Amino acid sequence: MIDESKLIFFTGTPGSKWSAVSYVLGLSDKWSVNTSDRTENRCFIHPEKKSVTRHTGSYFGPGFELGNKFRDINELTKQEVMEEIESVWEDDDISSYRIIRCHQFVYNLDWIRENFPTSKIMIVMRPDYMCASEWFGSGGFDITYPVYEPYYKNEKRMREMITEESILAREWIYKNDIAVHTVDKQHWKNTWNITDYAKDSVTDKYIRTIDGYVKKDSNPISCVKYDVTVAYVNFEDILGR
Amino acid sequence: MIDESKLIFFTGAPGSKWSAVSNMLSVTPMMKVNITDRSESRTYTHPVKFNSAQHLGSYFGPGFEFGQKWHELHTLTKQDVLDEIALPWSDEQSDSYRIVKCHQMVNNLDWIIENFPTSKIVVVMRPLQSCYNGWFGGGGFDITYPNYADHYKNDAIASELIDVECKDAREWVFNKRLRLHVATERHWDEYWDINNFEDNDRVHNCIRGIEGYMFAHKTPARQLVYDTTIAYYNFQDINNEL
Repeated sequence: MIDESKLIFFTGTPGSKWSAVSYVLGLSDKWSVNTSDRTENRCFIHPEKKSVTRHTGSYFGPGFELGNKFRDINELTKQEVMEEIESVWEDDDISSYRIIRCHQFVYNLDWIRENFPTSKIMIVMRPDYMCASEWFGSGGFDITYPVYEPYYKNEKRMREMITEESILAREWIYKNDIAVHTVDKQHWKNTWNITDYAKDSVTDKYIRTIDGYVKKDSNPISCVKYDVTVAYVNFEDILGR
Repeated sequence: MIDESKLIFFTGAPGSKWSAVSNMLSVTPMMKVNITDRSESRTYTHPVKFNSAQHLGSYFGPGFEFGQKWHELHTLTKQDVLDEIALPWSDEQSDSYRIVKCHQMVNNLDWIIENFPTSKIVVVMRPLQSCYNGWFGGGGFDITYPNYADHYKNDAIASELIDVECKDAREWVFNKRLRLHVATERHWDEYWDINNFEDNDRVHNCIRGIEGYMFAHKTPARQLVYDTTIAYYNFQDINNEL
């Protein structure tokens, strides 16, 4: 039995670095995140030239392993959504949070809020052109997990979808007057208490990657972008205001 | 005599919406800002399609009315800088802050900290491509105040300088480990106590313009970008959360 208040409906466009953000969230001592959906076959490592970041764990949405009907989640029953979520995590520890990642949640955030009022929502954003540049530069349709081709089909459609998903995210944030935060090292420290990690550790690399810091560049700091932002809904119990 | 602790060294690349951010800071009830540098000749209003965003008051930097040598601030003496700052404001208002706007200060922020340790610094940032689009799309060299032609010269040089200014800003913020704030309605409310502004067209336009919401557009909410961020240095006495 899933505790709805322990669900995080997590969305962001392809190329927004949403996967990296979701990974770092699992490292915070402010909560416990259920990572038992991470299996060997649910893993994709980006080309080494870039960073350590990877896709790991479950992804929901059309064409992906799970949630094939989540693009139109508003046409499903709440029970159908719960059953789809429940099938993924091996460990059914109800005290830990499950991060449910789906690009297309952004089409139905009002429905999610109405049907899962105690659940949390997170939206990761980045300028559209950066998302497209990042996604195609990191493998694009050659990414083997999750598989983007069935839904996003081709480059033209992918670019259109990134723009559409980005617009919907920002519109929803505007209509609901939600605070937006830059996801940088200080954010992880001040908001999530992620401080105790060694230089060049996996945590450090993930956080630096989100900042845009490219260690292999001759001047890594010059690559910093600070262009990834996040919005939280229903996180008052963990993050305060 | 200028009170250094009442100086705000304010920087941001062209197209970063830094002017709009400085205009917002001048209306907060949390600090009094000296706006006696404003005059009709020191005003530029963008077209309505950009929410009539305004350049108001003094600007410092090569080619601008003040601070001709400020792209090489570190070659000046502190007194040179103070003498220049004393020029534009017609009323001293010793209890008020002066927002000293200069694009090129971003190249010498450590020098400013060293020489003006009690002053404040604001760095406004926006992704590089957004700065390009914002500045060139918002008028570029056709902007009549301040005058960019002397220092930024042409599209190629302007692009190069914007790139350097954006990089310098982020590097400095990175090295100083400053907190970043996305310039949204929520930011102005929670950190600067600017709220209930719907009846004030100028403030309303400004807040929405920074967010990317342009009232004249047929689908304004679809233009939202939320891509202007602000870093504050030495503002603990005004708001410890900054």
